[in-house]
Amino acid sequence: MELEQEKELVFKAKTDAYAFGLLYDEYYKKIFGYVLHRTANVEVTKDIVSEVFLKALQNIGHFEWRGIPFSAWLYRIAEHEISNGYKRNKHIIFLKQDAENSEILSDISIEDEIACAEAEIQKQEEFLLLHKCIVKLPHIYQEVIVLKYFEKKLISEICAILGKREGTVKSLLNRGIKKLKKLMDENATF
Amino acid sequence: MKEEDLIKKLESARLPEAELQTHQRLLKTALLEKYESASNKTATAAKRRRIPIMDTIKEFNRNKWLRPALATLSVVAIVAMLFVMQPWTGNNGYTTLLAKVEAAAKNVESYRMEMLWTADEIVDGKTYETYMNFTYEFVSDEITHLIVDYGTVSYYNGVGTYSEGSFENYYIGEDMYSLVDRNKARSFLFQQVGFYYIYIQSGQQHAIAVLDFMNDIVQLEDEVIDGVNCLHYIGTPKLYEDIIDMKWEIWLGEDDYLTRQIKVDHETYITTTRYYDYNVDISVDMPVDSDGNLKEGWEVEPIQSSEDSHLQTSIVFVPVDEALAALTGDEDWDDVSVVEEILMAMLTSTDWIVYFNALPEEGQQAVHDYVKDSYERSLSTTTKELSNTIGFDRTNNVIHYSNSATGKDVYINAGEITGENSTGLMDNETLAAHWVSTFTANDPQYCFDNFPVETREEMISMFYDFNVAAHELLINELYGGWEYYGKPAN
Repeated sequence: MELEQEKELVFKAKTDAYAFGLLYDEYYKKIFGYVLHRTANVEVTKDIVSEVFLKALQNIGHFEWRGIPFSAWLYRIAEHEISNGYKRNKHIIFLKQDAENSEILSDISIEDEIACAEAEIQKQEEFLLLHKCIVKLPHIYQEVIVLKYFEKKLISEICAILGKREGTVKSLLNRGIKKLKKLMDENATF
Repeated sequence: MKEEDLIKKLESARLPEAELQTHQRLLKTALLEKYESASNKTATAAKRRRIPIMDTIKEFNRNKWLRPALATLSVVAIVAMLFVMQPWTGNNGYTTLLAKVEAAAKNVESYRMEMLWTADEIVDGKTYETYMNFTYEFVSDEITHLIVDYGTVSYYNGVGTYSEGSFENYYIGEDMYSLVDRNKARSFLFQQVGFYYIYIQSGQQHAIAVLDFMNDIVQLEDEVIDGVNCLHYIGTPKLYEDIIDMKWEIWLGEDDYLTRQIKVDHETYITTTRYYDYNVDISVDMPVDSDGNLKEGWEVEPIQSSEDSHLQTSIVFVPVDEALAALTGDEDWDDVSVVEEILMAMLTSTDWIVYFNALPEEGQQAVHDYVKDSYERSLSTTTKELSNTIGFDRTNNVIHYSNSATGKDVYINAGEITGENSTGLMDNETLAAHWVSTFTANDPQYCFDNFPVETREEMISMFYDFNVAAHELLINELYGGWEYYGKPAN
């Protein structure tokens, strides 16, 4: 989506549910992917993503357009949810209500979907090995590494998401990789 | 493993695209169902939060270093108090009922009261459940006892930090005895709850005033509160009508007409006040022993002076009866300066609801219109001041300096410098000067990174330790003082 188009949509989404729905459609998968790469747990990811969009909905009135993509804001909310620790029970209640209230029910239950996706993740041994070490890093390094290598974001996009300068992001990446390498080496010796 | 190999591993180890289609669909449906109510609530919250004058009030309530600014506090700013310090209790057009309630209150010799104020506060996408819980014992005309527990977000230039604590006070005769959990937080605590505790001292008088302060009062079904059958009324507070959406409820004992509960339900916060144990013998553990000596941990000082040291404000709270006595009855309610003067008197009286109720209808209307106009004007002037901040993102250890006047917007990533290794020996002037040179450098991050690590530890600890004096120096240098933030938009 073009930035100008997004800006218009975000403005509309403050008062228009349909516009909010379009933003949701646009970014659900991206945020889901990012959180999944951070957590490597589908169940947790599902809950965090629910919370991210709920908070986006609750706070979109505060969002001020400053030339930074809407998605950067969503990534930041996601990061807050991940790094600050989230209240799992709250999410479960919210989702349970969703399911009960919703008239749209799929033939495949959420549980089945989660089970399938979890099974798929368990096959990704190389990712899981890396993830095991990545989660030991301070959050700030986890963030940049996941955005850069798993989400394939450009440095300029990471800067927008994190609200940091290019030099800072590069420095964080550099140090993060060094730290990760050290952890991987340590891990290999055991 | 070589770094290059690690990077290749990272690039190839990406998870296959995963999605939960059912979850995506159900979540969207649920979100859109919530959209209407949530967005309305958000809009109101956003308006409240984005009013500079409200920020002013928040700041002076919460930051003692803003004290000098209070001397010049404008009426516009003080109006904002109406929107942040809601009465925890508060009369209607039911003359007979009112007379019965007033008569009942005259027989009150002792009672207990508990007020719980709760609100969700959102800071940087994170929701904090904030609260203030007041437990008040009116033992006699001479002795009252107050315990306050709180969990609140305190703001420092737009950056919120959640904290919890409590304090305990006795008001005995002319003296106030204090027991505070953390001495250094003492002033802060009083600022947080200061205005409420002023109201608490007006007790039953304030509770009665609720009825007369409500319009469109409706009697609901009787309810039982604390085992007492109660008459239950709901109404709209006069002053807020057509300004913000709020309902007040009051429960009165069916047989004795004593106030049993008052609830203020606003979209962004709820205040519930229970009154109980009327005229029972309340025993308290006094802060002085039988010989009149202070018990350990307690401090004593005069309750209030004209310059209230606990509120840390220059506001002189005038007993409401005295404030009302200053009214001549010949006020020109079309004269804005008169309305401003009355408002100032009202809000610096010990009970502004009692004061408002006592105004003539024309005066009440004039005050209402002024407040409404101030509120609406303030909604349209917002972002500029909010964009002038020095914020500290603790999660990412990043300092953010923004100055819309100069167009500066700087982020300093402190990396692994946490300030934990600070010696605390650097003087405030030097600390502030280092930050000024950093924020104003051509390459601020480079400038910061080139300070010796010990210096950076000191610089970061300034934010962690909430070094007020150093902040004040810094703000003075960068923005020309605190008033820059708090300056109401006229």
